[in-house]
Amino acid sequence: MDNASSRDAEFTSYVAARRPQLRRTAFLLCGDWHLAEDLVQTALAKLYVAWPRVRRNGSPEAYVRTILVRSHIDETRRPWRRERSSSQLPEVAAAVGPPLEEREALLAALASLPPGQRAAVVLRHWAGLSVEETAADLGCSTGTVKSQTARAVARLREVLDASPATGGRA
Amino acid sequence: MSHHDDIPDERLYGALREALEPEPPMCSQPSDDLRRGRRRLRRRRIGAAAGVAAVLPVAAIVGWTVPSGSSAGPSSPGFSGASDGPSNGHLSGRCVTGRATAPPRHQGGIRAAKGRATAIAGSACRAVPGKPIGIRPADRLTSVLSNVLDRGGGHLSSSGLAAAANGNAGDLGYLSVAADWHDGVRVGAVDLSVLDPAAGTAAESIDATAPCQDPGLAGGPRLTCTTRRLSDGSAVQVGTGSRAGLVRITVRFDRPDGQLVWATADQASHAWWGFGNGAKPLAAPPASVAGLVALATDARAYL
Repeated sequence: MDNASSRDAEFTSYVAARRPQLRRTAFLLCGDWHLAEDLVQTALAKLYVAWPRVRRNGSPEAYVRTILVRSHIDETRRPWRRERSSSQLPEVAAAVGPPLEEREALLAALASLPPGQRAAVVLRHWAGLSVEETAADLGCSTGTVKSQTARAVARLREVLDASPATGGRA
Repeated sequence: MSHHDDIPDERLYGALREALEPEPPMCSQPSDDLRRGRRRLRRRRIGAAAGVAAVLPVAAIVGWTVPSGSSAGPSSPGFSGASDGPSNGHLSGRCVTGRATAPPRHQGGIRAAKGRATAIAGSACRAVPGKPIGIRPADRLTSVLSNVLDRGGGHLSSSGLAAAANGNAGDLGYLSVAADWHDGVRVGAVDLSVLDPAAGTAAESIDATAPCQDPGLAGGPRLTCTTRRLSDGSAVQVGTGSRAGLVRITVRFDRPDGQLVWATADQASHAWWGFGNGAKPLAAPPASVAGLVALATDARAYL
């Protein structure tokens, strides 16, 4: 197998295994499934370009996460609201998750967080990264991660505590 | 505030997990990502080749004027085609069927037509008049950005000045370049974007009656919009706003040729931003309303 074929095979294998989780992380970062898909596509295209180097370093996941976070911030400056367009995404089945109000409240609370707090809480509490790993992804100190996470968690707990559906689960 | 916020919180994890429901099905396959990645890699290589080609005339002259110099390298014929690729290749049109549609290839040219399905609702397949987006327009936008806001250098991160045809498909009708800065206290970014509505891009999401595009995107401030008349009679829309520590100025200029130009600057405290943007410490650029108007209306800022 030549280098190009090997690169394609490795990349495809990685994407097949990790794409769903990356899209979920992207959704929690941006709050919109369409935009999450765009962010993942952008991140994976960049990953392909950097694949030999990233693969050598053994950290494709960290590379993609960092791009997701930064691409999301970039997106907020873009003048066109791509996520507002109707799209040909398949119809979503009727909600089977938590009550809509609770879900909306949590997503709204996430959306209200500054990007650093949002990224920190998603990486720590959703992606399950350690403080050190999160700091490495975001390019900041562990102290910053702790303070950003603490503020974000405090805000989200307010929302959870106010929700009748989750208030008693703590 | 808990003293144990550095410990993963199961309750919070559960809430975040539930917030993902209902999760729509995946609309892109790994093969699509592979295709987009290859396209991006190809574009980068074309850009690198075009950059080398742009240097060739100078290098050739230098080589020619230095009697003892070797001209073997710069005069390599292999570069001659590269300079024609991204900026001169034109396509007659294309058929767009959806966001996952692969764009046509044309000897290294990159089309300006964005194949987003949403832009062609109701049309299963139509020809889109295209124009090439190559590395050269991106370089031009980057030059405008630095010439207007960073003429003397020292404000914008050179790493952030890397041109990028933004988006996921590579077949775009818009182009954005961005530059970052931070001065140790504040952190910010400037973005210069051009969109060609005729290219069948995300133009449907552009509301012509809303001059400042309500940035309803998460994290974006709600802008207050005004229209300003320029000395030549043209008008720009200026939006300003802030939200939770983020200050944003955006200027939209509808060019007479139909292309839309935006210049947007964000500025926030380090504490708000939360992490580094990769830029070395620099003085804040003059990203005032006047500066951004100059940026958006600069005649060279076009695709």
